[in-house]
Amino acid sequence: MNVSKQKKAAFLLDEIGNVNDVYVQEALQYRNTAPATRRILTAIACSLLVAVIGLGVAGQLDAFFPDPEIPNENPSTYVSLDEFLCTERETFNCITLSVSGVNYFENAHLILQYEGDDTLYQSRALTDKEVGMLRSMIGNGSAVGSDSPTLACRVWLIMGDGSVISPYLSLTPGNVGSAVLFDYEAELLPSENMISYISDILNS
Amino acid sequence: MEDYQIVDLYWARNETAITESEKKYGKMLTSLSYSLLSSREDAEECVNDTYLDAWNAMPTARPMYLGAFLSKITRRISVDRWRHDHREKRGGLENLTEELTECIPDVDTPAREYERGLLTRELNAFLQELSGEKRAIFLRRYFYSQPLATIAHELNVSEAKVKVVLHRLREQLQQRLEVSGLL
Repeated sequence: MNVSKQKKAAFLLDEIGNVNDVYVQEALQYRNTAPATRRILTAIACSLLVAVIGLGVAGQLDAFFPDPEIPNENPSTYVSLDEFLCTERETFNCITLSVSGVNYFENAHLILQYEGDDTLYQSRALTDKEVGMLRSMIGNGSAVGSDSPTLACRVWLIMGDGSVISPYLSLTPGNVGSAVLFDYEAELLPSENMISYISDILNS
Repeated sequence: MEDYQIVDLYWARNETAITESEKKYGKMLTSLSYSLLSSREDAEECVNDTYLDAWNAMPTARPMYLGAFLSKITRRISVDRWRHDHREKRGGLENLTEELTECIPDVDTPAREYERGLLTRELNAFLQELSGEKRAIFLRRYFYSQPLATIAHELNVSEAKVKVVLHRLREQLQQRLEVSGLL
């Protein structure tokens, strides 16, 4: 075997050891989904179950929908994270950064960018506990419908090790950035728990 | 225990972190090292060294994926160990190196310095374009050094399919490296 080629192959083998952690983790956990026929049968069975339950409670549905003519007199939570971030903006305990001021490798940060602030970001440093809690909440939101909502404020979570994620995205390999505040369209709507937790962080 | 909880234990300098790491990833790490070194004793030593390296790395590191973080350490230690020992017996690492020569272009190129960051970036871009199954096959073979039969069994595909996929991926990677001129 050509010695030079063998050395290059050994080098390549070494460099494969430095690929993205997400791919390394995913490779070991990856499992093929069930065969097509089993998936179809499972889907049919689930649909039948939902239909039976739905018919059973049909007579009770009115109890769950309030009269739309009566306004909610005590709204205590925001409808969305975006609404909260825009409405309460002036109360946040953040510092303003330019893109060059964003550090991806020291401490974890919550980063906000409002529509119209093309070169400026609002940054809030996170404690280890905060980043752990936020990390555990990401991916638990509800999926958006067919039209991704337009966000007036983009949000990123810088983990401190170079990786960047967003509460609006699921944690698939393609949704984890590397030392960059990437553009995205929302796939998920953050849960009420996450909105509440982010509110506590930004107002503390 | 979730990865971030174990990482919190490392940061708190709580030695339970090692126990929890071993419980969650010990078997996988030992298997990875053994597939490279073909020696149970050497593999166990490398895995123990992995926990020491991880203990020293955290803080300041805070990996999101602890399994990948530990795997990379184990792999590096095991590869270094194999090269240091200058094993003459044909082992897993030599087989992998030989397979990967197919990815190296035949065209004579001028001498270049190996630019590690650029090659890693190219590999990540190559992997990103693959389907989940193909990426899993490639990394299980060349990162985790798993035998073809194990890959086939765990991914519920035939061994023939694994061979064909790997052959095509090596060709694709060769073309990519040829165009980029990195190797």
